[in-house]
Amino acid sequence: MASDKDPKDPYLERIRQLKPGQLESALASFKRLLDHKTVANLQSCVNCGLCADSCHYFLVTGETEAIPAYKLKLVTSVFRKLLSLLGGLARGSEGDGALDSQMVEKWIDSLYGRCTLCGRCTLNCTMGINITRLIRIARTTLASIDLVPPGLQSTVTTAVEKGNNMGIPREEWLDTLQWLSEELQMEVGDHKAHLPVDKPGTKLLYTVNPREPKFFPLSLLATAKIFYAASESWTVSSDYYDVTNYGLYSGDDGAAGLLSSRLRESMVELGAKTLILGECGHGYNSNRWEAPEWLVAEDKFQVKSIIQIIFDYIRQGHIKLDPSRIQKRVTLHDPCNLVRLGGIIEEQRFILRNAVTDFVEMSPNREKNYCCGGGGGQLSMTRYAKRRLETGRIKADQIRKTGAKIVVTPCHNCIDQLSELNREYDLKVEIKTVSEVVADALVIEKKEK
Amino acid sequence: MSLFAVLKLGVLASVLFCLVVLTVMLLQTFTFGRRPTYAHPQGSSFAGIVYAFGLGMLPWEKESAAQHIWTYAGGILYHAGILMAMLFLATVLLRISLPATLLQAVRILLIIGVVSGVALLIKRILQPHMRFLSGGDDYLANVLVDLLLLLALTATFTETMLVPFPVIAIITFIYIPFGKLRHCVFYFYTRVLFGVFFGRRGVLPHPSKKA
Ligand code: SF4
Ligand code: SF4
Repeated sequence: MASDKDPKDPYLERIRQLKPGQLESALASFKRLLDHKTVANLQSCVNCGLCADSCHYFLVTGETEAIPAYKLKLVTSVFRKLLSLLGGLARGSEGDGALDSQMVEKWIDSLYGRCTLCGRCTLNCTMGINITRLIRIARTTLASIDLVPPGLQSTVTTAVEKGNNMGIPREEWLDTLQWLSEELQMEVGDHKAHLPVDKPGTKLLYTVNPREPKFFPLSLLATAKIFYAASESWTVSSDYYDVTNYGLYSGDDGAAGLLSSRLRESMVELGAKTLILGECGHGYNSNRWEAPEWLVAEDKFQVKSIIQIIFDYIRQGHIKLDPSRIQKRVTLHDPCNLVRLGGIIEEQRFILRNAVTDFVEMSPNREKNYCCGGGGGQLSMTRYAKRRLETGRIKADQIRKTGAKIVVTPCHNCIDQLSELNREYDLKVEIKTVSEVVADALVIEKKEK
Repeated sequence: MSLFAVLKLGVLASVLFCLVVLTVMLLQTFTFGRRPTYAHPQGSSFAGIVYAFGLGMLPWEKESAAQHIWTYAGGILYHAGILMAMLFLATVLLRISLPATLLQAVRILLIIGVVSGVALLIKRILQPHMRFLSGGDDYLANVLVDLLLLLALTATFTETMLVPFPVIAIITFIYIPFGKLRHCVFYFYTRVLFGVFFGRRGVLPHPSKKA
């Protein structure tokens, strides 16, 4: 079922009352999304089942609907049925491959409801099939007939209509920046210190997860402090500063492209040299890797993660850290979109080794790390919240085994999920961004006037 | 025309058929279009491809292989047996007689191949999640290839089996494009794509020395 089996669930009702025309339209979208790579991937599964244990959903629940190969089969069967002359020979438990309302229900339940698009199955597939990509193509197909689960859709809609996914009014954003500037001046003892807004011609244009100004402004303050210490030339935009892009998760390429294009417009308007993506895993994957594909254009500037910038500051001696200030044991959670799908792997480790005294790795880690369970839009799809918390058990166990008191992760979405896991599994840990830890260890030197 | 000549022609025709259909399928993928990639690379696609066919195949590099080491080993040995059966088929059709020691080696590999294939089949039948995943093609492909190896093995002992062996080979070659056995070609395709994807993103090979 697509939801908690509430017969009056209007979303479920919409699925059941799909008209043939809508299904044909979905199928047409599906066809349009295929290219030689996806078709090769769709032809390649050998049903070896070795991907099963790579998925945290299957590991925790043991439910067959959670096996990546099953999710893949749901997509493959539709492909085979409709597009391949050789169809019909590889049918199995996924049905006969017709994209009808029953199949749509299965797609929604497994491809939205049991997947965080974490890429772990792709990494572990015997054949190397990009299962994650194919699942997203199915999501895009569903998005084309407005069947994105409501919570996820409303996050995208808010971002599209209001300019950021929390619907923060411009004045509120500017007010927050103003008082954060005052905080920064107090912290660093320099009345000239501030968070620059719409400053033209800077080296960096910084983007943030709207959850920072809304709920965790001190996180933004931490980054500002690092920029201050490094005497960086930077700014934020007053209009488009949202690094997140839930279009990646909903599958809506149009909305995803629009959101990413706004950051690029700000780059051009302000004449900044490098677009800096704040600590957000999917924001990095969206804006660094996927946006050029959505927008069908190469970026004319560099797009980097704030993690790469802090890494450079430390390596080049632009900032000084005192690791003795953080004596508690620290571990690191690798966000899937930044690490396994993004390629930012060692920088955050280098930073933590320089910022704290006792850094321990989770096992497994780096590109092999488990998803926290909050990706794929799960945090916004309340109908699957129970599953999300249940499958987060793997991450909770990983954290507990390290004996760490502080869990650091360069992703605000992961922080939300980890905070819930902290409560659910009574982990008794603090959860911080990389910037927050670095700011705690930062040695601020008096600037010469 | 002798029965042997007919079988030889049959094998050749089925191989040709298999190759033509697989080529059509490969070319068919391109009819869906090629999309250029616009994001600037961070790592090397080539290094990714080398990794995909080299280090990336090793069990300590891939958790799914490490955690299922017997399945992994079974798969490797199964494929070694299949390769041996194909080579042996060529020697049979070309009437090349193998020296006794080489023949012994062929037999050993074929035995190991059959055992591995049957073990993988049993695993598929016994494990609930594997049963759930499996369709007719999964069983048929396995049985067909197991039979191929078994008949190849018997053909190494007695001339009377020199007829069933090419017959099963003909059936197998004809079946290959229609089921998962097509991975004999698509495997290379998807591994290249895998290497390019993770290689250009700088994820694989491991950039652990980067920092
Ligand atoms: S590991 Fe890959 S080939 Fe094997 S069942 Fe999973 S998706 Fe298919
Ligand atoms: S992408 Fe992650 S969550 Fe989705 S099926 Fe693969 S392993 Fe499971």
